[in-house]
Amino acid sequence: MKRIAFLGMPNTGKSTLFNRLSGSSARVGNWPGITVDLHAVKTFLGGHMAELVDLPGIYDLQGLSEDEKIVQSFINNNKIDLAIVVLCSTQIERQLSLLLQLQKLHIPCVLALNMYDEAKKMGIAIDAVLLEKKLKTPVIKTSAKYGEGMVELLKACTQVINQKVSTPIKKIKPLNASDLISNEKTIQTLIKLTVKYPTKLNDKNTKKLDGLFLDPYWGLPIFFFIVFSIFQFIFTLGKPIQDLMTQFFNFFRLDYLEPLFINHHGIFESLLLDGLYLGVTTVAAFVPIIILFFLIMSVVEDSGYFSRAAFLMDTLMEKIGLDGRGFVMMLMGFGCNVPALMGTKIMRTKELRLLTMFVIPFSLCSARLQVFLFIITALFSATYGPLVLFCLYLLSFFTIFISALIFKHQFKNKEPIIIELPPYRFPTLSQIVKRSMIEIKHFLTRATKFIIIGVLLVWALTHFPMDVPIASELTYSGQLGKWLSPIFDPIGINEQLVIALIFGFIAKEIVIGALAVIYGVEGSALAHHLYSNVSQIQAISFMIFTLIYTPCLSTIATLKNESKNLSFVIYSVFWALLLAWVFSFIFYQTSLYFSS
Amino acid sequence: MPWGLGAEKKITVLRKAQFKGPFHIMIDTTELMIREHEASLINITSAAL
Repeated sequence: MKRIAFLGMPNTGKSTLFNRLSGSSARVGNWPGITVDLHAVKTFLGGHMAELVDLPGIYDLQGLSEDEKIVQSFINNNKIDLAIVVLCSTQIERQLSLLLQLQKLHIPCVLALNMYDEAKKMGIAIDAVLLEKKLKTPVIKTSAKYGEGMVELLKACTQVINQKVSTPIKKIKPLNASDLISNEKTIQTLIKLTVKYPTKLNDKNTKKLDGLFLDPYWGLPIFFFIVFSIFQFIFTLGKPIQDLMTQFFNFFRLDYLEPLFINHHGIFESLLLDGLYLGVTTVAAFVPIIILFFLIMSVVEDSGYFSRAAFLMDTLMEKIGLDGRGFVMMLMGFGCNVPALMGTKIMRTKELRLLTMFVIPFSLCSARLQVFLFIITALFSATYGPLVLFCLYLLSFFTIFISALIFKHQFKNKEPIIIELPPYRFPTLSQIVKRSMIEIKHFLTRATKFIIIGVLLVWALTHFPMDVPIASELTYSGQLGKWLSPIFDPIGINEQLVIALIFGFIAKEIVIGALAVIYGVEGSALAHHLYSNVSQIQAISFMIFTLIYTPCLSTIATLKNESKNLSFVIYSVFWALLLAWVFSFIFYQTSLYFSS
Repeated sequence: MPWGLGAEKKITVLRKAQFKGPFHIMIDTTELMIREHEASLINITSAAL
């Protein structure tokens, strides 16, 4: 088995090239010395079984960033038969250093001059034949985006892996100053000989668009308009599809599943339908929004606008320990926390990503909005209702900012924030679709188990002991509500509302459904019941708690998958619960004091 | 040699964000966003106009 590693700097189209050659059927593998997931695929190449491994984008073999440590560890602990070094042709003078460093380790290399189509457009010409001769390494012009140069690249790879390697591969050693100067001189000589730049770079579109998007006055309004439009598009299209799916799942349950158990009422039916089926359909209902989110995000990310948004928002976000990209993700979280958490992948530094993931669950998502709209409509007049909702949105922002401010030293970003502003590009349809499919596959395979376990736990709490009414005060959840009353009484949340909060742990959408089960009434009757039994102060306190306390199970599962750190998940859930209680307590007790 | 940028390169400042925000710079054909703190670490020895 031959091992072929893909190496390159970020934004070189390395993963696109990997997906192009692997058919995006990559699996996640375990590697000696590596604790993070790397994508790999097995294929047949040049008479050998070969394993293609997509390594994280790095700037330097000597670097100290998380990604650079991963690559260093991979190279030092795994035998590499060939490295496909992918570089962006327009930035060849900056990116050749990585190839030179790999060559010094005696790793057989093939150089892919990717995005050659862009270099041509900019008027940059590279003499690949001369470069190949000087580097003593095959050099292939490619465009992974359009699939150009793939045959030539595979041919070159086949030749290299069939050559006998006599020199043993060295381990990575720190470079000294003279090595760096020597590398730099070699690069300068190579560039002078093989690359021709136009007198003026021919990328007028990027200049014009930057003039508009980064304008000191118009930049921010345009940014908010773009984010708002994306948000609107995802939820205008995604929400009805999600609702249709929910309707379909209900229809399927009522018309096909429940009749199957017509003679077998009891715990088994309840376990399958209220437990497993509910769990699976809860996950499935997220899929349309996640598909749309990643379709749009891959366009925005690949277009280069993301880095511009980071530039615009960075001044504010730096003060709370985040960066401009974090703000975009936070805004996305107002639609749904799950894709926003998954979208933080674009951040390279671990601490920055963790802090961003820490605050995203405080974004008032569309599921919480449904609960608030029902309660506000039931208990508040048309004059005060919108004001209450507006205050909840303000509180959501406040919670995000205060949490980031408090924890910015704990998740202190030790790496410099330098973001590349690539030329504006438009990804191809197949790139967009492939990328979205990979994300959805990850979400489904990883989140499902976690969510089903959570749903079964809540099902057991609300259905046992068996001889009492479901979700009543006599069930374990009811007893838990009673047991928790010393904690919830000071914030005005009664035992029935506590049971609804336990249901809300699965998904916020089912809080209202849970209240219907608990009170035994639905729709307008439930609204009337709430109006008669819950005061406005209690209702606001309940909404504050629902806004801040533990996010839904899908969000928690995503938080665990993306952070790969259970302590971090427990920590963030505990902080959310504490903050929810403190804010509800301050509001409830202050309101009681003034109303009396 | 961080971010693949070597010494003795020409840096062009394209713009600066408002309220002490980051710089938008260009080194060779690469455009970067760099915060004030990181920019202050760049050692400028000479400038060719």
